[in-house]
Amino acid sequence: MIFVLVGLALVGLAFILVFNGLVVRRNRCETAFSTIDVMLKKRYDLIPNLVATVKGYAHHEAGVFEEVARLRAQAASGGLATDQTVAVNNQITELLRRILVIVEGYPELKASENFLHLQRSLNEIEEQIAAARRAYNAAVLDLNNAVQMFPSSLVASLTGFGPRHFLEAAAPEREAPDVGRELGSSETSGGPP
Amino acid sequence: MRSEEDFERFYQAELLGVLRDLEERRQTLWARFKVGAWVLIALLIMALAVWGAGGTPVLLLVVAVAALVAAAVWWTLASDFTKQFKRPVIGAIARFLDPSLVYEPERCVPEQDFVDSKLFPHTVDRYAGEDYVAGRVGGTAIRFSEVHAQYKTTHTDNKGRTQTTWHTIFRGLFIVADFNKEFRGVTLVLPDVAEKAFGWLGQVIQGWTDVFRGLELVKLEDPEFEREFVVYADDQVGARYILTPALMQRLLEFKREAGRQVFFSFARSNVYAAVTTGTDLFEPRLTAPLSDPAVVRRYLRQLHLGVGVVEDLDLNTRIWTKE
Repeated sequence: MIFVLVGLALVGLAFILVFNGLVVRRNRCETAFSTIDVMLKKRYDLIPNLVATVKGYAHHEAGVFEEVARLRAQAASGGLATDQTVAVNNQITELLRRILVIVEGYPELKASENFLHLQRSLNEIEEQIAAARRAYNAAVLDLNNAVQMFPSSLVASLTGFGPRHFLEAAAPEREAPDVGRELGSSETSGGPP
Repeated sequence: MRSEEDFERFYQAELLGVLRDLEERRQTLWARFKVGAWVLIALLIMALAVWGAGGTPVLLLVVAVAALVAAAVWWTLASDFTKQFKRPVIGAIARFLDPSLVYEPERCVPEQDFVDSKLFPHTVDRYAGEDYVAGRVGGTAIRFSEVHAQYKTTHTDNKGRTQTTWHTIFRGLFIVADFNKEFRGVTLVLPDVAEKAFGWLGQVIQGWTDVFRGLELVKLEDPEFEREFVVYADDQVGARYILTPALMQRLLEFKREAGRQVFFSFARSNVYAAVTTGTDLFEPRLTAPLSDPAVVRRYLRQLHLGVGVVEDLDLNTRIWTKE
């Protein structure tokens, strides 16, 4: 009788430990995702400045500026689901790349102090977003391993833990732009433009 | 890195004259050493013969004292020669690598830098070093030197005698360079012993050890990098902001080129690299000719190990907010 009780107590304890491990991993994913959010907000703050700086030179590209302003407003207002946030921000990344390609046509603008500063800030934020995304993916990998590996998979299926999706970087521009930097990618190779 | 022709020109113009001078001195010194050694051997044989023929053993003692005196003289002469050699030769090679580099044979990287790197958590009881090189390569400030850090343990036996033993914490080349990105916190990149030996189980063990350093284990995506290094940091995102996929490859490449155990630390906006070296670097060899380009190339390689950090880790790319 005592053996059965001890056995049950051990199983119960193991269950609690594994369950808590899963909760820790899930919370790490949440924290990592909120870090991405913080970085994205920093980028939202930069966009109006960038648009204002470039707009003065490239009047005929108004469509791009309006589009990026619209997406920024949509993303910054909050209330988007995770998938939507990702999709909108991928579009923003795409548009920012296009703006940088536009800038290539205006050497005066490209060399201006104001733009150079913006570009540096943008590079930094893109790099931070990439880092946060990688940290999130590492947390997801950790959670998914626990959810899918035996014996923690048993506890996970009993308590409703499921695997999560990885976050992909925005697809690189197809018509390879001639900007020295590839924004949104997590690479730092290559010299300054 | 400068070209082969540059090196040839520099060697002919700036080094050859100095090296010929030094080579003459080295030959004299070496010849004197050999004469001294032969005299000592002859004396020893004579003393042994006297003793063997039933004479006094006191002569043996005299030879022993003479040997000690000779060793002391020899040591002084050799270190004098090293001094005469280092500043003009190593200094010139350093300037050849980058005109901004200044060489100080008797100084070393400050102990505070060593401590700030947080690479070696042991308290340092004795800190020494030599062959300090500092300058600004491109936009990046760099300094490095040989460093020997030790700690001591004292042990008292049952007769009350205390014995002090010195243990090496690190011995090798210690490099400090200004990192090209602004960051907070500490990220350590250490040689991975556990994972190499025990595979995934090693990773589990690493997960436990983070408690000791007060840092978290950071698991990165690059499997090759993960096999060679283990990363600890106080911030998961911060560590990845520093360790981009490109930089991971560059750290691997640096380790491969160094061919030795390498430790990296990112702290206080600097990158610290500690390369364990088996031999004393930047020393002249008294037994071999100096005026041989191969010898100079060896010093060039040793210096490049330090200066190369800037190029190898791409520290002159400054496209972020830190200028």
